[in-house]
Amino acid sequence: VTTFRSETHQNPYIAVGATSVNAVVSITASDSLGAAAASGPNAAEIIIVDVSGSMNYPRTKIRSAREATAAAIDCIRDGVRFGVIAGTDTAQQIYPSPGRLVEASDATRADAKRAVSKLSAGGGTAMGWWLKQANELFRDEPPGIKHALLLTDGQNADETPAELDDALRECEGNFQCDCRGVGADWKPDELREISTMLLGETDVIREPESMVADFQEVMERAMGRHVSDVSIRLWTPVGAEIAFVKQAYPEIVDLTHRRAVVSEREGDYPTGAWGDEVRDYHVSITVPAHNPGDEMLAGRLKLVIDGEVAAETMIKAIWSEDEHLTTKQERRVVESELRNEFAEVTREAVEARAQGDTERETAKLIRLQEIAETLKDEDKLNALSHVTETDPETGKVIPKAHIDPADEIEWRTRSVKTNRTRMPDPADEPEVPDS
Amino acid sequence: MTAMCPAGHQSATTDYCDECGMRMSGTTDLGSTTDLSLDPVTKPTPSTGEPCPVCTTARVGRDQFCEECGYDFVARTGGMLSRANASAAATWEIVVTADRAYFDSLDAENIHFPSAYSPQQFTLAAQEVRVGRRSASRNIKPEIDLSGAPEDTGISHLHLQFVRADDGSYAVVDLDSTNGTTVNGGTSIPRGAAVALTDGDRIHLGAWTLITVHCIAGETHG
Repeated sequence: VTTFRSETHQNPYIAVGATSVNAVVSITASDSLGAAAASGPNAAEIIIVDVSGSMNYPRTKIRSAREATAAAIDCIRDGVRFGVIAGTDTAQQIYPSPGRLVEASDATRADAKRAVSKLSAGGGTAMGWWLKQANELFRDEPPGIKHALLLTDGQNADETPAELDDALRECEGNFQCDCRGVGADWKPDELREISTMLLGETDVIREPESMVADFQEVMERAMGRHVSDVSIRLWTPVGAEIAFVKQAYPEIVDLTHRRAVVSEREGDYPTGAWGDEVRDYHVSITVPAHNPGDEMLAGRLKLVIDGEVAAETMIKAIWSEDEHLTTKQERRVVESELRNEFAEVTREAVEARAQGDTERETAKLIRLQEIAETLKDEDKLNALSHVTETDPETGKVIPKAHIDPADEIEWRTRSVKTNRTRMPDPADEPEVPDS
Repeated sequence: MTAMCPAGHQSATTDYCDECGMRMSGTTDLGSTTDLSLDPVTKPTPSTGEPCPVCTTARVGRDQFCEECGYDFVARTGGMLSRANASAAATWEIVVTADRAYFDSLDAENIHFPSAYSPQQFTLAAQEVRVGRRSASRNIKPEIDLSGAPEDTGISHLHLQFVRADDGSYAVVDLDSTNGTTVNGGTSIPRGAAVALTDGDRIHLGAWTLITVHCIAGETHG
């Protein structure tokens, strides 16, 4: 039995006249009560591998893709129904015979790997088609975990953004999809659009050689999920407005516009399938102003599985004239705000760079450096160090003259990853020594 | 069962109004047997100087909120020590009492409210602490055994379990009990679901049993 715990991190005290209530809700799923989830629910996995012509350059790319796909196939546990799609400007199911999936076993995994070893690269790129084909295969499967892994090196050149959008709408809610970009020619925003809509993650693979380890990790996580179709149900009081609902950890995913109305006061936001994991959600609600001393419930957040409530937590607002109380900031909320700003400013810096506006780009990079230092986020600092250098005169960061396109793409892609860092708590007392 | 909020809305939830969100009046002092002055954990203290259970700062006069951290002495909630720090050194205790108001609201047949009940206090220390009524024939021995007179027969032999999280805080899980468990009023929590607890949470089970949760911050060093 998977149990869920939810916990609200917030300072409920807000100044008189203030109307914005911010909270970070941590949700932990665990199998702590013993019952093993070894068998899990029904699961289906489709691996989509880009075999467009560009996968031939460098020559090792298609070979690495074949190896990685084989490694991913090896990670599919017995009994999971699976298939492999090769993507070009169309989609071709290369295993098993088109139109169905097959149960994983030593024999079928070996057959699938044989089919993959024969893959060659050639043709265009139309990711919407690939996803639609996966969607059709998933549609014939019984309810359960449905997961796809999409590997590509290029831009979605052979269909319009509207066509991709249509395909995503068709697939939304039917399966989850993680995306991996190889090399430096793909567009992070394009893959992000796919993985966000399909509740997965996008990441980079810098060296084709590192694909195998990454694929294994993705597959293990996907197959480790044992509760599907989990929603966040948010109740808000009359007169309140939901400013945003965002997943804040392990990466930023804006769910604000994914709300499905349940009742006048309640709406559901999709979170996909869960394994043993922790996720944070940042909820921002604007409530009507109240008098000092008034206490209200600004939100009630429930985790809902098949209509059953699995966990519940409250977001409160207490109006106070005591600045001591109202100016304290909750660490998790501050961190989430800074991470959101980091992702936003990264977008602006990239935009400024594309426009050749060095002055604006420099200002944005200085801000990014500040945020990363405040968060003490080594990954962000590391990514920035590849695209910036220090101006010897001012001591501030400036754009690097020559930036490796792969470094830029990694910086952009990872700007939404939110490591748990150890930012000092703004409301913290001095550390309590161990006794 | 509905309740009336201060603004006059009918609410199905009893802690906060399910329409406008306002705190329901009387939520904090429900239950005749949980008079704070009798509460064995928060021993009666002089009118000044009661230490704040979150940050240990002495209470000033009859102030509702702690000067230092904002803990609400009346509602017995709040306080702004960061949770991780607070609970790392915190002690979790539960106090079991009989709740007349709850018993009356159930209108249970063939069960009588006990004429005398001394509150029992337990400290939660283990990773998992089960609460129920011992059964020799079924070989069930919950860590916290609520059998023995006066006995609330509405409690299942294995009724609920407190589970400690990594950060030291506790959650309550209903172990598929016959009559269910509620936290701070409201509807029964789903069986198997872990409901995170905070200081002052009130757990009802059986026909009249109330478990009040106390999270007491550990020693803070200057």
